[in-house]
Amino acid sequence: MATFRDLACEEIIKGIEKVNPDYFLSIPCSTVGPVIEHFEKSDKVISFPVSREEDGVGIAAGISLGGKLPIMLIQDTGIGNSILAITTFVQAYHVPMLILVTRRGGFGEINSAVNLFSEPLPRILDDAGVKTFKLDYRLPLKEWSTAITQGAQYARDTHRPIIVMFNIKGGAEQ
Amino acid sequence: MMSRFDALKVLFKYTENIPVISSCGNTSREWASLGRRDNHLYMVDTMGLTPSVAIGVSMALEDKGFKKCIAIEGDGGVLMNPNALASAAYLNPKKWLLIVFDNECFASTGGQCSLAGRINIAQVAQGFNLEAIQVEDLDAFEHAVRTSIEKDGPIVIHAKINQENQKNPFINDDPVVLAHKFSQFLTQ
Ligand SMILES: Cc1ncc(C[n+]2csc(CCOP(=O)(O)OP(=O)(O)O)c2C)c(N)n1
Ligand SMILES: [Mg+2]
Repeated sequence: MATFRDLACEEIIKGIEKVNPDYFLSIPCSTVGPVIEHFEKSDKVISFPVSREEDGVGIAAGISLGGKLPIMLIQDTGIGNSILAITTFVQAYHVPMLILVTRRGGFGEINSAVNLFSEPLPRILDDAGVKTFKLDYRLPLKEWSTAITQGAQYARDTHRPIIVMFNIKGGAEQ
Repeated sequence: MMSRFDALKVLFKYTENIPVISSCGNTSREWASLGRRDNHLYMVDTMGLTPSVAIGVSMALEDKGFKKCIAIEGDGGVLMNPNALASAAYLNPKKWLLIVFDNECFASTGGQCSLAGRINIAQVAQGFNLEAIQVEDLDAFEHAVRTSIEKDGPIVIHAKINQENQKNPFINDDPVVLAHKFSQFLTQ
């Protein structure tokens, strides 16, 4: 039987394909491996890995300034590696950008350190004024692809970075 | 040894229609003092990000008429974000030209010693499989700029400079305006 994770990955793929970006940048998180593998094989979008999220945010911002559409997929700890670039460049210069983020920490997390960043992250982003939408088990999976397309549109319409965060592990709100 | 300002004056001559992104601190201030142009993007902060942004712009402009997208960065900035060198090596952006002004210090904050005194940045770039041209004087710099603009990248020009800073006003424009002008220039 398909797991929540399998179905979530299918929805994320569907959402990204509906947005139809020119470039797909990523650093893998174990939960969304299938999404990255899917776009590695795709001939509709140029997919590539980055070595650090900060560099990825800079590259995606350049792509966006150049009139093309990027989407970046990272795990939430990667926001820690890139928050200065997100705030003092992407946000300050009004560069539209959709960043998809998978949630770590919380129920189901087995890592004994990431919770120390993942748990306070929503508050950090709120304090920094980086608009974030959080999807978890309470939003029916069939709505997730729509949330991704709306996130991309909202980034364009409001001229800023928009983060759409997924809790794929399910369980209670962190 | 040449100053950053002497080198920027040379670069200014050859980049009227080439997008140029300059790093924070005195580099952008000296660059802007030569004349504001819409093909310039002045970074007011985010130290080290300039080469990354230029990679993205170079990729987006692949099918357009611009010969290059040039990033101007300091030794401190490059060593803060060497990840951009990795990305340039991996993505192979043909229009990416990185100019590193290496004064072996953090000149913009008062000339404190950086790591570059013991690290050869051209060799670091070569270690990433990037073409790197090392120059120490103004003639060699001018030659490197002229030839690199005409050639497929990615290319790194590693320019040794002295520790001089020109006194110029801060750039505290609204970044939104800076980005808008640059983006309009790229996409119209
Ligand atoms: C994250 C961060 N740390 C420190 C600074 C302060 N700062 C601004 S410019 C600069 C020096 C940059 O050195 P380099 O890239 O070598 O350029 P130079 O001024 O020497 O030309 C520093 C440290 C900053 N802007 N951002
Ligand atoms: Mg320096």
